[in-house]
Amino acid sequence: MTFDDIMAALPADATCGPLLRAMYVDKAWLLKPMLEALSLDMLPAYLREVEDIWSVMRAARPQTPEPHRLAEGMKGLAFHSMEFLKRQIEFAKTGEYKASDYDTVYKEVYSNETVMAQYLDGLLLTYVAWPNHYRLLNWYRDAYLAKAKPGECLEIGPGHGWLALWQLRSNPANRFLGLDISPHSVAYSRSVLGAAKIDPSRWSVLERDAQKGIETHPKPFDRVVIAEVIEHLAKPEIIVNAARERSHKDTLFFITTVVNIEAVDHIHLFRSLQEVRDFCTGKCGLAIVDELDLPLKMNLKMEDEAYEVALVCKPA
Amino acid sequence: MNNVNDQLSNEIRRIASDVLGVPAGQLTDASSPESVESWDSVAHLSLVLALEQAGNVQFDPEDIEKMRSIGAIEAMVRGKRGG
Repeated sequence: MTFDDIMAALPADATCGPLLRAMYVDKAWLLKPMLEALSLDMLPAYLREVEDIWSVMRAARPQTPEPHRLAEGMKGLAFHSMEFLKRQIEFAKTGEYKASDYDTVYKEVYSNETVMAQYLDGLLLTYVAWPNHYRLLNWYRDAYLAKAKPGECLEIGPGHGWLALWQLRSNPANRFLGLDISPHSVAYSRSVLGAAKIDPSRWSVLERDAQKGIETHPKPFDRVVIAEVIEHLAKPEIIVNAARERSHKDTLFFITTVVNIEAVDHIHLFRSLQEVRDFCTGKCGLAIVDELDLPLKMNLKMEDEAYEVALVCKPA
Repeated sequence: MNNVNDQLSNEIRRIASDVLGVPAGQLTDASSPESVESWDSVAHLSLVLALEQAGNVQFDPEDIEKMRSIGAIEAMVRGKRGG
């Protein structure tokens, strides 16, 4: 796949051409794996995804001129991608995550406006810039959203708000509560849902530490999403159990985490896929319904394999 | 080129040779990801990390993007060291 192939398939009314050029010409050296993962038959859906994300990113910040928004987004994506590579290279040597203390990560990352602005833009764009994140987003819709009963939805750590947006898009009967530790994530999620014109009466995103309990909600949750959160906590079972206690027997959980994959704020290290499964079925009292394992394909010598992993679960 | 610059140039070529798996003698100022097959994004960030550790310097993302050839790397490291 080449940049020219992508541009040839781009609909005439698409607005994401400059973003694609920035990704696959200016940052080709960094984002080549996504280009290599695409095929011609994947392009229509892929380009719809890019257009969707880019349209919402722009609409969420209507006062920011488009070239400036593009520069901000690409700065975030480059920062996120380079930081990930550097840390994963170090992890391959040491076998340990660099961060080990949640309070330090909170101070240095989640409450730091400058870091979070880049972090959230970058993380959102990874859905169309990193092959595993693109696959994960599609699996979320196909294996989870399409199968979960509609109703009351909880997400712990909505971050950039993109999974929340699709939760709300997936069924008009869905109502959504998002709880996030970071005030910057809360603002970002709200701006994304607002920009996507989701009826505000259907959703609420609050600044809360779910580790200290999930506030009373009038009904049990039908859907629970805990994505890219588990690995950020020292005792992640606390939030999963808190959510499970607010669920019913048919509640469907969508949980993602990583195995041997480092990031600026990863604390809880799973060393194998089995450790993740044991965590869900043991400490968290869940039964696994479906699982997606995405091996990390990097030219790195590592003792153990690294994975992104997503699980669909229900209370055991 | 004076001795200090010679030393820096040799040091960078030695580190790049180790990371990229290419004999130092084959690396020129023009050597880049386009001309060295093993120079992918992982190798590039490995090279950056090795240079940071060897030279006690830090490169930010904008620096890293500019370091796209051995010559550009030399210029960047020289600038960071105040040379």
